[in-house]
Amino acid sequence: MARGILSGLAVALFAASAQAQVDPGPGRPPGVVLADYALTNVRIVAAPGRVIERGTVLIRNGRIAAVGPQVSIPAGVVTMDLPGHSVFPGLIDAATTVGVPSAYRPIPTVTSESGRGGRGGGGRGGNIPGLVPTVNQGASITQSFPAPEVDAGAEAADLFEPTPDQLKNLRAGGVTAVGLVFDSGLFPGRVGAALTGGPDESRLALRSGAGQEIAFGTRRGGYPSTGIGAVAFIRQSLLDAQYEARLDKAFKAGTPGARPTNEPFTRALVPVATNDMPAWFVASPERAINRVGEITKELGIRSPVIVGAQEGWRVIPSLKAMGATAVVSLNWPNPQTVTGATFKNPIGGGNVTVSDPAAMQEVRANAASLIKAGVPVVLASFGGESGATFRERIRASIEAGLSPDDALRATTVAPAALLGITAAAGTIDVGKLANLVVVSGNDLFANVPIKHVFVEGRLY
Amino acid sequence: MKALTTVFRALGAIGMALILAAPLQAQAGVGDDGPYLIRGATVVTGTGQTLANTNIIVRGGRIERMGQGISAPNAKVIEAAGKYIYPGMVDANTPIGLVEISGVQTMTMRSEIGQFNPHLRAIVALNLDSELLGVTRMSGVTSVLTSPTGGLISGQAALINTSGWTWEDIGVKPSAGIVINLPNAAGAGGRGGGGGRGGLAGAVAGASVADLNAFMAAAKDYHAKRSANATKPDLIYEPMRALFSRETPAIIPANGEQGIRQAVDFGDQWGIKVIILGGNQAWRVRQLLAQKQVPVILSSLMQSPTADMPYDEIYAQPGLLNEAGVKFAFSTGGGANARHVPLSAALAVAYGLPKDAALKALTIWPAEMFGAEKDIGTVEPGKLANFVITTGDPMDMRSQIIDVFIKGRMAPEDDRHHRLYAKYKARPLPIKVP
Amino acid sequence: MRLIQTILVGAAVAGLAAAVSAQDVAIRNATIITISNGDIENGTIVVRGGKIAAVGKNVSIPAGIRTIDGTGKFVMPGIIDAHSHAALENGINEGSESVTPEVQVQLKNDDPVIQRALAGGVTAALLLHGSANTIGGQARVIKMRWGQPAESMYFKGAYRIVKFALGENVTRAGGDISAGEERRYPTSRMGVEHTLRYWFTRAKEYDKEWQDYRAVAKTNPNAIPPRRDLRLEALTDILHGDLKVHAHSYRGDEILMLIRIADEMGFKINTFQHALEAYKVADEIAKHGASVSTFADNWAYKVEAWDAIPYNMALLTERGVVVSVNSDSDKRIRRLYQEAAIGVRYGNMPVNEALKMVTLNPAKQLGVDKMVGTLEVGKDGDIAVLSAHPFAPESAVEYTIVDGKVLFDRSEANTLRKAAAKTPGGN
Repeated sequence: MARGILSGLAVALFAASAQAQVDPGPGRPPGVVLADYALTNVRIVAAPGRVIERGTVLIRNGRIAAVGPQVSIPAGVVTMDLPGHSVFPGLIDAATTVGVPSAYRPIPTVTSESGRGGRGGGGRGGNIPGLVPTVNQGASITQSFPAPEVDAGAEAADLFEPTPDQLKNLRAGGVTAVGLVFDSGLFPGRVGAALTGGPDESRLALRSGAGQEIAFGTRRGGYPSTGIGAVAFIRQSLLDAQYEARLDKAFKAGTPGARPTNEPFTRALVPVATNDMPAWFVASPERAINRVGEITKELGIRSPVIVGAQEGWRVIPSLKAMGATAVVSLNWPNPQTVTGATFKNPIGGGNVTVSDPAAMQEVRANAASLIKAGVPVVLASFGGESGATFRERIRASIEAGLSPDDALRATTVAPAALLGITAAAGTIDVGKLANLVVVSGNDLFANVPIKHVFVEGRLY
Repeated sequence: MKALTTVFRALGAIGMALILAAPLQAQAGVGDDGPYLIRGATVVTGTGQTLANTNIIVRGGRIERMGQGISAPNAKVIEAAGKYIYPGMVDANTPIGLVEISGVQTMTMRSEIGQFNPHLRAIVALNLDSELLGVTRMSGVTSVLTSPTGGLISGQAALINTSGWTWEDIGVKPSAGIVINLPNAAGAGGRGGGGGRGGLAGAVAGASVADLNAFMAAAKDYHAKRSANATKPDLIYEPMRALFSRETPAIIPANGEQGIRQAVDFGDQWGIKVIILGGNQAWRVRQLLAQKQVPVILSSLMQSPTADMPYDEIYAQPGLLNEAGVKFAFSTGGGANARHVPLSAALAVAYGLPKDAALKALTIWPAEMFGAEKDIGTVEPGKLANFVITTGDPMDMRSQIIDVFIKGRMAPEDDRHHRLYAKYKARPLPIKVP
Repeated sequence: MRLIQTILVGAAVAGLAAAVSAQDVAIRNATIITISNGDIENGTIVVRGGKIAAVGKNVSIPAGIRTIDGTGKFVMPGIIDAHSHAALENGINEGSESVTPEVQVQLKNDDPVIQRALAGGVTAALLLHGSANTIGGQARVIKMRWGQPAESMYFKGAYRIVKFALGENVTRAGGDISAGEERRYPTSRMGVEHTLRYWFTRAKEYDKEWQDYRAVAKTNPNAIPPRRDLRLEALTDILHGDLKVHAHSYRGDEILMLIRIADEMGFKINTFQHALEAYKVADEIAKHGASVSTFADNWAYKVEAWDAIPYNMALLTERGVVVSVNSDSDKRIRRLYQEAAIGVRYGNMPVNEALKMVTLNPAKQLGVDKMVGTLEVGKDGDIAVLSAHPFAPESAVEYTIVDGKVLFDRSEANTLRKAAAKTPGGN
């Protein structure tokens, strides 16, 4: 007992001094010097199904240096003795918009003295050249850059600018890495991945180009202005990208007459259109998911990712036929608005039930139902709050039937694989970043606060 | 197709013949003043009686006499054996005469600026050659209420016939009711919301119930003082006196349970008669309405039910109201389809309103609501000669309207629809190339 | 030989006496309005497996089938609404551009308006793009199969249909613009004609490019095809007759204009929608081979609706045009049988011709007349049962049957009376 107190004091003293500010060089903001830690006597869940009942995790230079029942601890390491606690890989929220600007942020414009107006993006789609005779273009042209909602090449990881409070809220739920997506738009850009902390908080982005996000939004001031237009626009854009790839191939092969457009928007979509980059479709209701099925089938797009998938349990055959991975949002819809809720109306209509516990259960058991049916699932907060709320929702999912193992898998190993950051995160294995969550007891998702969070070896 | 065309032409010819057979000479203008002798019809009086083989004498705009075998020298004779006579129908709320094409702003002068306009009279602002009037009367709707909108107090609605030489001639009750818009009463009220349709919710934004009550208090005070000859006349307050003396009712747009209760309470508070206009979900307070004898103008049966109500809510409501003892009338809303007010009645009948009550709701109940029961609403001696000669029940679209009498004049068939029909029916068929 | 025959017959009978399913129903002793073969008094109709198996006076009903007593009732083909925007989601008008045939409307299969339409005897409908565009998007023909997923509601075998629009809605759209922006073209009826001619000219060029490519590709597998343009492709489908045109229109002059453009470009207009002045150019419409779907009763709400007359339907029918009556409204879809009756009073249409306007005629316009629109053996069991003749004022829908399934049953339905019984009525 005394030993515990003394160790605790040692930790506190050392932690205080370890977090001392050190000048990293002229003109640069002060960084944080990392300490090395050893978490001892702790139950280690390195991955779902890989448990060490009592052991040590050694963190050096922000990475996992050793994991095991018996680990020798070198000098200069801060020891945290954690009997009665468990350590897990930090949670990954596979799709969040925290810190990512909206797809409908203001459109950048530049006024130039000469030059042609740009095609694509931004302006009104309305009047087709040649249809309406135009005169007097004038000397000065205002050129719109691609509107963010169709800036297919934009990287969420490059635009990630979280506030300190946002990062703190993420960590409070045990979330140490996030998948970065845009809120909406049409082709708002590419999916990225980032850490929620670490020694250098100006460099949290971990991965870009993890996927091409596609949503059924609208374009400001132009075509498409409705969801039904969006479907046609998406189809045409992907067809054009496939065509571009074909032309490009012919061009490179020296085929006479081949002439790719080299248009930035189309170029940016070539990887997803040729199955070189996963397509991440934002779709939650049943009909939207089915629409994705139609589009991917028509265009030969394989293994799409469905972000949201909140009515996934209603369209399991469709998801399986697509070979889709479901990034299941735990920002649950109101059961009264779920597709088919009105089918419970009596004949003649009217008197929709106000609250139906069975319907609520169905909504919450979505992830469990999908996993049971063999659909690959990762969990996310997309559309809702991440951090502690995300963790609460995971707990509620477990209460609704998701197995704790599956819950852990869907928030660690699986999202790491989906985002392409397996080398750095998702399990407690030597060489990976020290992204760790410590709780008292055995259950990561129990209704207890997070005890400790490490992101890239920095203790918060 | 050729056979069909022949059948059509034959039927069309019969139809035209029926239409043209009755008058002995071409009618012009608003129709002849008569006198008329209409012979041998089955008269559905609207009082519950059906009189077989009955003659009607029309003179001076009124029904002079009714009975079997009666005659009148020098009267124009109209043979109606085998036909029916029904009282002319009433659409109890329209903008006819004030509004022509609702999408055109200059053809839509139904409201004035300002919140308190009880002095504005619809009767003086009516276009009597409105095409809407013409098509309305030719379908057997012989009277309509035409009403202003806007503000807290919109003005005086007029009960008019659908044919006349001047607005003095056409008015049945030039001031049939004063439209008062209670804030929030016409909008979504009660559980489930959605009751906002059909009301005349004018520009009450920014105005409050307190403002309205302040005006009512001042008007009531004025009324008392004027009765005691203790104040000079005021143009704005003077028309309010008819409310407090209960000569004229207030017409209050109200939908939803809360809105209707609010309107009824308003009537009690100020001691005035109230007619509910709209009445979406009136069934919820039918006992109250019956007890207080507050009638309802049902604004358009052609609406959708409120979201959590069964499919027949709007259609079955009149049946429930009738059983509770509430009196009501029908309005089609925009005026352009006032001629089809019997279709509203038909829907109500299909969903539980007895036929005779439906007929009353089309005829005598609106007459009573507006204090015009001495003049219209039934086919009885002494009343205005407002009736239709038909081949059957006017609520049944399979029957034809043959002639329409308004204020003792047979309406000529010169409305817009008939004119365009006649023109294009007469287009020569294309010549068949052999 | 006789033994084999007996076995074969026995097998056939055994096949007929298949297990009773949810798609089997019979109505006995009713007045059956077949539309195609007159009315049958005291008639019986039997539906098996969703198809009409028998209809007539002395028809026996196989054991075990749900049988509705039709005494005093009227049975007619399920009503078809040839113009609706009900139960659509994610936009009705892709109004950012004036020509958008590549767009497809989306069915919201759990919209309660479908329940209400069933309560009005409607069993199928055409769900259309709106009228903001000269050429709008592609439609959905659906059956009111309440409770099914959206894809299962599509009416298989129906025409592919695209929406055109002429007149005020098209030329007024795009009116809300910011300073410096251009109004969306076209803004006049004259501009509408040019838009049509321009786009179909481009479509013909596109069609030729692809034909040329296909010819070349026969001998040169490396030939690069032209860029696939979904919009021009849809327009080409119109030229080839694979995508049928339903054109929202009001004025006689614009109806004639569209007929002449179609003639010039070599395609047909399938149906003029609304077409309130169609009676003025009835002969031209008949000669072109187009039909008309109109509302019986809506006028005077905008200038181009000013010359509408309720005699429109009768005049057109007399001159040889197939006419249907539609709702274009969530509210009217619930009482289309009442709307059809208007043709009887105004223009003396024979009752059966008027009833065709909500049964066989819209079926023809949607390309489903082989499957629905009349009560004949072999057609789908889409039926409406009413308490009186559909044109009688007291008539209400008692049952609505789709593919042999009873989807509306008034005796079991939630009604106002049932709901009101729980509410004392206020005091």
